This record gives sequence, structure tokens and C-alpha cells, in this order.
Amino acid sequence: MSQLFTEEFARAVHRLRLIARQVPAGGRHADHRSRALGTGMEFRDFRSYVPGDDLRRVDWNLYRRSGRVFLRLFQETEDLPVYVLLDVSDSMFFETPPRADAARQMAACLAAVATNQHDRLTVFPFGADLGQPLPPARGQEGFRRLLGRLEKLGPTGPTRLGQALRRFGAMRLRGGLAVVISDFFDPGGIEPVLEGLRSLQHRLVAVQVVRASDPMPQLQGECRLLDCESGQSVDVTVTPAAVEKYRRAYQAFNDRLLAFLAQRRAAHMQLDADRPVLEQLNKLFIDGWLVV
Amino acid sequence: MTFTGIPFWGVASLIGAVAALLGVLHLLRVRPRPVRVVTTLFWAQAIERTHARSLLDRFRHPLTFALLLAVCGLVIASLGKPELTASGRGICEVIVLDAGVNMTAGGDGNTDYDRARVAAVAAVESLSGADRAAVVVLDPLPRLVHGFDQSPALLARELETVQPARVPASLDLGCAAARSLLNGVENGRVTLISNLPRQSDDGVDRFIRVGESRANAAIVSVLFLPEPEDPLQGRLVTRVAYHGPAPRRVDLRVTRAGGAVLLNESADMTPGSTRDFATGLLACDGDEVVIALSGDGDARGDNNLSLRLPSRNRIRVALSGDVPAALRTGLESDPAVAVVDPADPHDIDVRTGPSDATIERPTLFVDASSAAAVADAPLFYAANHPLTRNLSFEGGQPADAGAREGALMELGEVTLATYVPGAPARAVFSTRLWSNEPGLYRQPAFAVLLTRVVRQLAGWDAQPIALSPRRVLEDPLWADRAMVAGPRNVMPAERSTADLAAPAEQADAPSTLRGSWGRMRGFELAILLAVALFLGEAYLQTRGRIA
Repeated sequence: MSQLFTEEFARAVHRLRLIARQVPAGGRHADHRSRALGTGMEFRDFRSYVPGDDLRRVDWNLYRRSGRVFLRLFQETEDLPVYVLLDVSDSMFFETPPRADAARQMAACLAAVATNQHDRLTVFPFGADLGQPLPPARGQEGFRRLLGRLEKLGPTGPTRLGQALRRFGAMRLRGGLAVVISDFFDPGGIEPVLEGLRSLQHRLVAVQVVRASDPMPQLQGECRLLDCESGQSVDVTVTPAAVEKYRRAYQAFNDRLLAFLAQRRAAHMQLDADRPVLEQLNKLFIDGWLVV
Repeated sequence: MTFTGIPFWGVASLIGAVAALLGVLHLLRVRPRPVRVVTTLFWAQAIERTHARSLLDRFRHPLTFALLLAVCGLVIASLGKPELTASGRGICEVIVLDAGVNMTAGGDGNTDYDRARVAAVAAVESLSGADRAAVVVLDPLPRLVHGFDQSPALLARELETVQPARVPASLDLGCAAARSLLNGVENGRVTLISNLPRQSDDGVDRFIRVGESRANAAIVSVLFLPEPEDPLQGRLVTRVAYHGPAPRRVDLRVTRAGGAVLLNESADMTPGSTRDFATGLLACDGDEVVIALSGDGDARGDNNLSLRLPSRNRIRVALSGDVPAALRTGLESDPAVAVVDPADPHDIDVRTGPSDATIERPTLFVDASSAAAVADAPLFYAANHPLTRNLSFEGGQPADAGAREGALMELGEVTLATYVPGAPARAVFSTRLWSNEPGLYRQPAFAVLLTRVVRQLAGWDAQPIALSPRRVLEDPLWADRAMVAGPRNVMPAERSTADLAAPAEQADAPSTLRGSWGRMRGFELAILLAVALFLGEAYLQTRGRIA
């Protein structure tokens, strides 16, 4: 095991389940109910025979009693495509410990859950733009390879979250679950982020990587604040009044994001980068279940 | 404070001190601590409103700070009222402030005295540190209210305690007092502040005229014209002059002190004109009369007068000695004469004998000691004497140069009638007048002459009487004035009509805003521009137009 995904971590996530109420048809056989009725194990319904139907599915007993030909239909179970959009911009690797560690652990956790359920999980790292997706994790070997690739991810420059989300939304992938793991700090503010989230045609889970210092910065006196990504500077005299204004601006940012997610019926989780991820998984997996 | 008086080492020290101060300030300037943060998004939003509302944040920028420093330095330096002139010796200035009744004029809530007071304070404040000033107030007599050694800050309060007098002030006395204060002083200067036109011979170095040239109607003279036929009566004639830019209507009211109206007349007057208002016949009873000229904006000092009419009773004449009967008859026929007993109180004595200058009462002598008459001698009478003017005697010849002084009538070498003015006056009639020329005294002209002589002896004057009215407003200087319209009357009587149409402007009068700005010094202008520049920069930065 790696530093990001220890044995303890593997045991903890073994009990977690990702439940989709319904998955779109067209996937591989897996554990999630599909909208399609086909060759599963659980009987669901009859329908009249039409030429071309598989004769093996004809209910001959019913034909003998009624003289009419019916087909037995079974519940189809398919996999859930999980797309993890992982923020690997400079801001995620800036502090100590970097937010990227918690973000990658969260991605690995989701990958483990998906692998256990035979779901297809694809990680899309992004920074200034949407990057190349990591190979899907299939089986334990594929999962290990995914962990290795996650560990090797490094900072890719400034964040363009809105642009990356729009680019991902334009890919027209099979409907599934999109998990955005990011600090959601876009230099353009909250509006480009919301616009990008609005373009996603998937069920949505937002994992916001935060720190305790985000709403209440520990600064004092005359400061020249340098943006870790753009290098832009802002001269600030940090006074209680200025801190209060900062806090209001941050609160307004969060309120806008949460309001949008609530309207979208999307799950939201604030992942504290300074605390172990395992302690915080229950905020997303209620009683070990994440129903999407 | 004069910059030119500072030596080179002083200037160098000053520059070094300023440079050191700037260096210290540069070292102590605000140096923000660089801090890298995840994002500056929220800080930018937080300080956006702070920048828009806080003026103090503007001073964080070095250029703004330098500008502020420069402005503060200029303002502090201006407290010393620096001058760039090279004159190192101070000026001693005496400001003469007119506080006469004419300074009570004014129409917008402030009198001309208020304006003069402000001008005086401004004149004192405009002096540099080495200059000194004293202020003399004329209310109406010269009075020193602010000495050379007193603080200029006290001047405004001192002048507030002064109230304009109720009579015109004597500017000549004030200027003389000012010059006396400057005796033996170099660089002395006299400044006169008044609302009157400047006199050409006032001798002041600077004249500041306050107020405006306003329309003003004033009483310039009051005459009593005795009735020729009955000198116990006469008409009161009031002359009114008007100075103003446009024709206007004046109302004159003459009343007795008891209230009886003697005259109430209105007239339209053109600028620069005069008009006489005459009452009906009034008895010379010595009663008090009040004359009031009404008109908004007129100076009150000229237009409210009181005076007493001439007091004339019948002339009491006492005859003593052997007075010719013809003379007695002539006197008794005069309605203005009452012949009384010598023991009774009387005004004129008529007696026989030679003229006696020691007698203290006006006397008419009948002198029998004249030389003998020459037969067929011609009769001459003085044609230019006031007592014989316009008289024509039958058989007589008017004489001018040949007549002796005081002689009214001569027959050859014999003087028939003489009038000697003086105190007391006396007249001498020769007995020859009554005996040798009996027809002469029967002529009407002689009756007129006798009447004139008697009235002259009694002190009556047939000419118009220039009354000496007492102003209703108290005027202690009135005794010094011969007429109502003196040289210091509020009415600018010496100005011509052309002058009235275009009032002369005083070049050195700071009465307009333009004049005040024009007097601004270059240094004050620089301060003003620096402050305006600073405010403009702050405004632009607040609006976000500049960094």
C-alpha cells in the first residue's frame, strides 16, 4: 500500500457502499439497477412475444395454460460510471499539509468503493484546463495502478475550475456520478464555477476541500497578499473590520455554492484538509451509504 | 517673515533639515509584509469597499504621501505670512476709520461701518510680521482704539465696541491725528476708510472706499426771506439737493414744534438738481420749526433739522431832546416802530447832538453842528449803499466814488445823513435835512430810507436770512459749520452731474471679489493650488480613476 491509501484506510472503506437509485442503460453488468429490463436474476414482468425475441425467455408454462406466448422479463443490473474531477492546481499543493493530499485520499476512497462494486471510476485531474483522464480502475491491480498515478499528480498551474467543468460537460459521457473535489477557488469568483457545474449532466457530488483558516485568516498588520497561483498582490491593512469584511465575502461565496447544490439536489461535503479523511467520510457516506 | 532675509547657510540648513526629515519619513514608511495566500479573491472584495470609503488609505501610496507632506509644509509655512519682497524694514500704518453718521448707511443688513470694520481688520491682517498698525476711529472726533503695540487679534473685538456717531465725522481732523501719530516715523502710511468720496487734498496715502454710491436727497440750506412790505413776516425756503442715478420723488414736511403742519410738499427731482420748497408767510415769532425730508436710503443726518424762526417785535424807539417833529412823524408812521418813553425799555435812542461813539445802544443822532449849507448846492446821495439802493430822490444825483464812506446823503459839503456800522451802530441825520430842505423828508424815498435805517439799527436785515438750524440729531461740531451743506456733508455737493452719472471708482478699494483675488499673493495662490490638487487627487483615487 501507499502513503495515501494505507491498510487501515482499505479496511475502513471496505464497508462503504455507493448506491445509485437507477443507472442509465448501456453499461456493464454490475450491482446497480438499470432502467433496462433484460437478463438479470430478479423477475420483474411479462410481455407479449414479438418476432425476433429470444425463445429461451418464453414462459412455456404460461403458454400451456393460456395458449398465448409471453416472455419473462428480469431486472437488469449494471455498473455506475463514476467520474472524479480532481483539482490539482497550485492552490491545492500550496499549504502544508497540502489540500491535494486530502483530495487524493478522497478520490482513492471513491475508487476503492467503486472497485468493490464493479463500477467504472475515471479520474479527471484538472488545473487551468481539464487534463487527460487516468486509466479506469478495474480490479485490484487496476486500483493499485490508479493509486500510483494519484500519488504522482503534481501542481499544474492556476485554477480555471469553471472552464474545466464546462469542458468535461461537453464530453457527453454516459450518465453517471460526477464527483468534484476542489477548493472551488476560481479567480473569476463563484459565477464561473456555478456555470461550469450547471453544464454537467450527471448526478453531482461536491467535495469542498477547506481549512479552518479559510473563513478566519490568521493575519495581522500591514500585509501584501500574494496569490499563490497568479502572483497578484493586494495590499491590506488587516484590522478586525477588514477581517470581518473578508469573512462576509467568504460566507457569501459559500452560501451561493450551497444554494446551487441544494437546488441541484447534489451532495456536498466540506473536507477539512487538516484532519484525517477517514474521520470525515461519514459526512458523505451516511451509515456507510452514499445514495445518489 | 521674509525669505530673502535668510542667509545662505540658513537656507542650506533648512534644505538639509527638510531632506533629513524626508529621509526619516522614508525609512519609517509603511512596508507591508508579503504573505502568500491560497487566493486573494475574498481580500480583493473586502478591501474594495474600504478603498472606496476610507480617505486615510489614500495616504499609503508614496506619491500621495509626498504630496500631502508638501501641502502640510506649505500650510505651516504660510502661518508665518512669508513675503518674497526685499524690504526688511516694517511699515507703520495708521488706519483712519470713519465712524460718522454717514457710515450708518447700508441696505443689505450690513452698514457701511460694518464693511469698513472688516476692511480695517483685513488691512491689518495683510501686514507682514515687521509691519505695525494703529487704528483711529472718528466717532465723530478722532480716537485711538488700537495702538501700534497691541495685538492685531484684538482689533476685531475692539472695533465691535465702536458704534457710529449720530453726526458726520471730521475726516480732516482724523487725518491730522493720524499724521501726528507718524511724526518721526519712517515708512509711515495713512489709510483712510470711508464711504465718502475722496478729497483731493486729504493727504492720505491709501484710501479705501466702502459701500456704494447711493441715491441721496439732502437739505443743503434753509433761508428765511422777510417780506419786503412787512418785515415782521417772511417765508421759510428749504433747498433740497438730490444725488442719485435716476430721478426720484422727495417729500418735504415742515411743521412747528407743536405739530402744526406748515408745509407738506412732494416733488420729482432729477439727479444733480436742487429744488426750493417755500412755506407761506410766517410771522417772525422765534418759534421752533422742524423740517423732515423723507426718503428710503437717505442719510438721516442731513434730512432732519430743527430751527427757530427770526424773532421780530416792533422796534421800540425812545425820543429824547429836541427831535424834529418831522422825524417823530416819520417814525410813528412806520408800522414796525413803536415810539416809547425814554424811561421804558427800548431798542433805539433818538437824540440830538453830535455823534457819540461811547453810547452803547444803537442811536440815531440829529446833529445840529454841521457846517452851513451852500445855497443852490447840489444834492448827492449814495447809489451803491445798501440803505439807499434802488431809491431815487427828486432833485438829487446819485453819487458813487465821490461820496464819503458811510455818507448816505450830502448837500454840497454838508453831510445830511450818515450811517456808521459797528457795535453799536449809529446813524446821524443833520438838522439841515429837516430845516433847509423841508421837501426832502416828505419824499417817499426818504421814508423808505428812514425805515431802512431804523431796521438796520435794530439789527434787522432785509436780505434773506441764512438760518442756523440745529440738527435733530445731536451735532457738537455744528458750531463750526457755516451752512448745512458743508464740505463734509453726506451729500457730495462738490460733484458734478457727469460725476453723478458715473461714480468715480477708487482704484485701491477692495470692494469687489475680483479686487480681492487680484490682491492675493503668489504664495497664497500656490497653497490654494496645492490644496486643490490634493483634493482632486483624493477624489480621483476615491473614484478609482487613478491608483
